Amino acid sequence: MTTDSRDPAGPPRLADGVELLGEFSGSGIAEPPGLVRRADGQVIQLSRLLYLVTRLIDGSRGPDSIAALVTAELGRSLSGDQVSYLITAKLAPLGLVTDRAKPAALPTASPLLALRARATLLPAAAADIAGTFLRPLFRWPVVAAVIIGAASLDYWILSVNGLAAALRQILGNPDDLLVVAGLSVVSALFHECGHAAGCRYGGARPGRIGVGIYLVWPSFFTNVTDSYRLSRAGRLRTDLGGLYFNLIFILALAGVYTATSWRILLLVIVLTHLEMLEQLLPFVRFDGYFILSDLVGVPDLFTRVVPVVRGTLSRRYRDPRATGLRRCARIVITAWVLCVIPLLTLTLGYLLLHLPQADRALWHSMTQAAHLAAAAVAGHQYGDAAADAIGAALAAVSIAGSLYIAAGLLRRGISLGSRWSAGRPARRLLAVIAAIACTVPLTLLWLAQGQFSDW
Amino acid sequence: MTNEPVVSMRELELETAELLPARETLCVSKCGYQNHGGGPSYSFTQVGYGNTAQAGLVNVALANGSFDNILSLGSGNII
Repeated sequence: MTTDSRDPAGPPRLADGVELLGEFSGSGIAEPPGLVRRADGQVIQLSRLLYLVTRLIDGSRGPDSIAALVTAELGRSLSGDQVSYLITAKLAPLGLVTDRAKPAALPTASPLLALRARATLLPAAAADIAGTFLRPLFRWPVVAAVIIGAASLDYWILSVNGLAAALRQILGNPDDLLVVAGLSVVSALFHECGHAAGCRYGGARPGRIGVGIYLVWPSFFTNVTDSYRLSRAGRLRTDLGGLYFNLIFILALAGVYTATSWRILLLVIVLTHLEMLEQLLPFVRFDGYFILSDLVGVPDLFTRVVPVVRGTLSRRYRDPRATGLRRCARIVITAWVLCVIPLLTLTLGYLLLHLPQADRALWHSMTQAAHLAAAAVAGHQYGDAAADAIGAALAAVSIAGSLYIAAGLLRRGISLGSRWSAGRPARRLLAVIAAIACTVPLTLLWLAQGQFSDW
Repeated sequence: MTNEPVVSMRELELETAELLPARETLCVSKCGYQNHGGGPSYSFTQVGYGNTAQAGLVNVALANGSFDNILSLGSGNII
């Protein structure tokens, strides 16, 4: 027993359910951080020293003993008091240790532009089974065959059959629309199974598969948080698993087309290609974002935006989230930040400038589709009714999503202003003036353009 | 007595812990649809904002008998 008698709280102990996930593999941070997971599933990235201390907390060692072991491993001298400081000031507020000043509510990540309103389609256990069942599709011979097959199919569509022929599918029949919509949904679900299978292949356990609202769109999702523990290759396999399964889906459709000559399948194949291209965008949390994040070895790129910008503007500003990056990672992330800021500013600015007008158009679209659906049901045209109902539902989701984004921006703005001006009346006055300077002209613009009329 | 350099309190203050967001891979479904009442006309918005007023990067619209707007890049509006 190596308890330090001078510590009245006794030897520190990790909180129940805290799991050490090991070093974050392939990290873009100069001193590779470590990962821990709390019982509630929240994953926390700890700097190397904090992780070393956490790893040595076992309920029997006191701060002095931990300090001696850390000193030996780190090659730098650390005292027992300093270990106590790290435990009390850094680890306890995160809920990683017990018998200390435990926070009233455990902090959790509140990521920017994240999925909202989640609902479960496949619980974690079922997603794990699906991932295990589909895992053999990641064996190299299968991967090679799928890639060669998809490349040959693309060559045939582009050069032999022609892209225009694939697109020349006139959806004049609502039944065709329902087929395309149905296959798109199946494709999206299979895409998510690809992430689960990729995660499982690497040795991590996928979480639930579900549906939610991303920005203004309905979206399927797979929770692959456990893939943080994987190597960089394992994480990239998980990221690319969805696109890889899209290729498998496309080949299956091509097989059905060969047997049936049902040309609408060619349209679905082309649309799936466009979906895959969209998924590669790295500026919102699509697959491309996670791929870029794993290539540079930095888990959440959005948290780097402010430190990188402030570090670029002022050489005296030193935030470890920016200064602790390896050179290559810092260059890539700076380039990403320089792209993402204008892109998101323009997109969100456009949304705000035209919010009432856009929602009015969506409202009209929704009510018209709802009326047409009701009329189609009355006329026993159930295909039309289903297509109209899908249109109405998507318009409703878009309205809800746009309002949610606007409310979120407002909430974050107020929270940021409140924190910045807390206890400083001059700053508070400035924040209020800035808020008025933003909202009044915007409201006047909406009124001048008649965006509130004709609802 | 150890010869290792001492860790300063300033360094300890800069030690960071970062709450990582859940890794949730997304597949956004943006099948849009329009029926103007006078006849069927359907559109599939692959990337865009909503399914009618759009400000996205790629907009695919398939209208009955017309291919004027099969694939348009940039901001579009098919109200």
